[in-house]
Amino acid sequence: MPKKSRQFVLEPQAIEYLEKYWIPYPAHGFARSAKEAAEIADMIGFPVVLKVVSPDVPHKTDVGGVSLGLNDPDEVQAGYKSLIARVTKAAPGVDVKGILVCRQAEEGLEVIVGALDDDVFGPTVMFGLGGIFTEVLKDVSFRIVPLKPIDAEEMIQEISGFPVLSGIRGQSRRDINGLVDLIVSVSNLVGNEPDIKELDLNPVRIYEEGVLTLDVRIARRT
Amino acid sequence: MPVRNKTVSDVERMFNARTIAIAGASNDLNKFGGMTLHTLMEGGYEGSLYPVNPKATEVQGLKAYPSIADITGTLDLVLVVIPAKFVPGVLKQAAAKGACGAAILSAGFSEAGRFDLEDEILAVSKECGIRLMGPNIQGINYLPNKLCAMFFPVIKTRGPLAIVSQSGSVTAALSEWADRDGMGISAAINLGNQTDICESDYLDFFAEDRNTHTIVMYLEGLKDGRRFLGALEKAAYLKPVVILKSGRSETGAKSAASHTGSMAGNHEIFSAACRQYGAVSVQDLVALYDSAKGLACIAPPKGNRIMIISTSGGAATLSVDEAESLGLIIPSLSAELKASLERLGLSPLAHISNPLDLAGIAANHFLESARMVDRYNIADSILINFADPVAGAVEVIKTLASELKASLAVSYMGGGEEEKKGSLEIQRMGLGVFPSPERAVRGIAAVTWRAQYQRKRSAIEEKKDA
Repeated sequence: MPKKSRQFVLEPQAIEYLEKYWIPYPAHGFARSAKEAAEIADMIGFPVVLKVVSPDVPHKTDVGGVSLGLNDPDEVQAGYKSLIARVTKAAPGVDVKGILVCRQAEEGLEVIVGALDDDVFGPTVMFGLGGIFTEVLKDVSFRIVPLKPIDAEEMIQEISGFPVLSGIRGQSRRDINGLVDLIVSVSNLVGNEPDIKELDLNPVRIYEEGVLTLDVRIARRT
Repeated sequence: MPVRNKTVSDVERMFNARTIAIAGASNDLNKFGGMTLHTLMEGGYEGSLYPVNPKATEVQGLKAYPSIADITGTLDLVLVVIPAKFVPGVLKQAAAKGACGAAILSAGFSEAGRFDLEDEILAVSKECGIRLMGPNIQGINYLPNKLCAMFFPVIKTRGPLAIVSQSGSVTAALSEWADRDGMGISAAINLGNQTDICESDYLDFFAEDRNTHTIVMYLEGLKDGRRFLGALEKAAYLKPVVILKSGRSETGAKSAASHTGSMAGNHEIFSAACRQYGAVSVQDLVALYDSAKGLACIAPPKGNRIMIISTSGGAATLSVDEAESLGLIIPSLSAELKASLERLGLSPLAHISNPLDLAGIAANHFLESARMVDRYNIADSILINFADPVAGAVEVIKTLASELKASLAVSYMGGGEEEKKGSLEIQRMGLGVFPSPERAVRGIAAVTWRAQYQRKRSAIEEKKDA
């Protein structure tokens, strides 16, 4: 097992941090069996996404640990079983704690909001557009915690890809105020929780109204 | 009485020292101890100097003392230019003579692996209450006290900039540039090892120093990042601060566990932190100097619209390119303004637009067209590009500076002797004159950025108060 993965907080606990700081995340529940998963799905509404919860799997998609677009309780039950089978085959001996069942979010523009612990200044927040904008072009901006709303505003406007958010080519303007709130909440989170070293909200979907975190990874101080 | 920061008062006492001992003073001007005494005297220091040299009775025409203990009376400051191993002893003697602090120019401490010696001087500093600048510095220069305590150069032109730099050669270069072009400095500090007094302390001091208008910093790292941000926030609230941090090529992300961690370069974060706390952040030494000049010599513009008036098309185009890349707005001229400009009787070859290409060198055409543009209130700053010798340039700039509502900056190039003389005169009036259009635009962009930052922050404060 990669030893490094142990420093990550399990996603259900990571979500608790988000809830504590009012960072929007889809309706969800934690299931330990296929039947339980189907019940949760029924409660939160379809379609749903299943995600494996394991301290040994830092990159869920690498081991087939995510299933998308499940539309009814039967699909969820079947999906649960096949997901467990895929993960245990891809990574034998992993400790699977269960499965996170989440309401599947609507399509939307994706951004990334993260936090890291800078050697010089300590907790620092990062913002960028999703995908190649961040990965290849490194079109990201940084601010030192604590951030005021104006700092969040400026860091959003600072990236070269900002017009994508403010509306180009007939696209509508995205909920930039919602994004400012989310970034300030991330600043509060890492500023107030000394155990947290790094955090990724990747992706965060940003709609005309509202923002939603689809995936969260939190690394603890070791 | 407000409680003052103890270190700020100590730095103030050291900079304003009236009695100084120079440990290691020498007759040999090729030795650091000789150079330091020489620059002090050349710089016109008016207090009492006590050269300390056990092998001489007289140094550079002054009575020399075998040791600090042999000096009668008290000391304010000791300049230390002796081998590192003797420094702790000299510090104790200086403290016994009442010296508030020591500027240790000597090298051979932590930078040379002698952490023990550096620990020792810090211990002496704490025990005897003597404050330390350095060690391992080229020196300090505080012009209000004519205290040019440096190996070199001798800088006497007093002006708005306090230079605080990790590197001795950068300290010297920036000081010389400011000296040569007539802008001048209030102080130049080389940080060295920062055993005791550090970059944040100098920031605290220069924030309050009424002889300093703009703080210029060249940094390679920070002793305490969080403390620095606190000091920066306060300083940048009070006066302009511009920072260059070297090391752009280093990437951070050494132990990044997350995606965010792997995206982070130290440099990007440093630069973002400076901007967040109100400092203008730049990427190279020339930009540091030009931004400092802009901040010190151009009045804060009310917005980011710039009007460019030039003798030549080349200068005009270069200005526009730089202005656009720095996010300044180049407003176009209304039909009414165009008609008004045409009525001024400019050259028939003039191109009436923004940039305005006068296609001529008549000083009064600059004067009249700038006045007209200002009357129509289309620009927050006006850049005058003299790109040939322009007779009467100085008078025109002097008049415009007193009349215009818009902020004024000047670029002067390609004008031979007329330019050299004119530039110096304009700069000496405290107005920003730059050697190329792009550099002038950079100066304008810096002062525009700061003005905008302050407006945004004060709007938030007002909202809070309401």
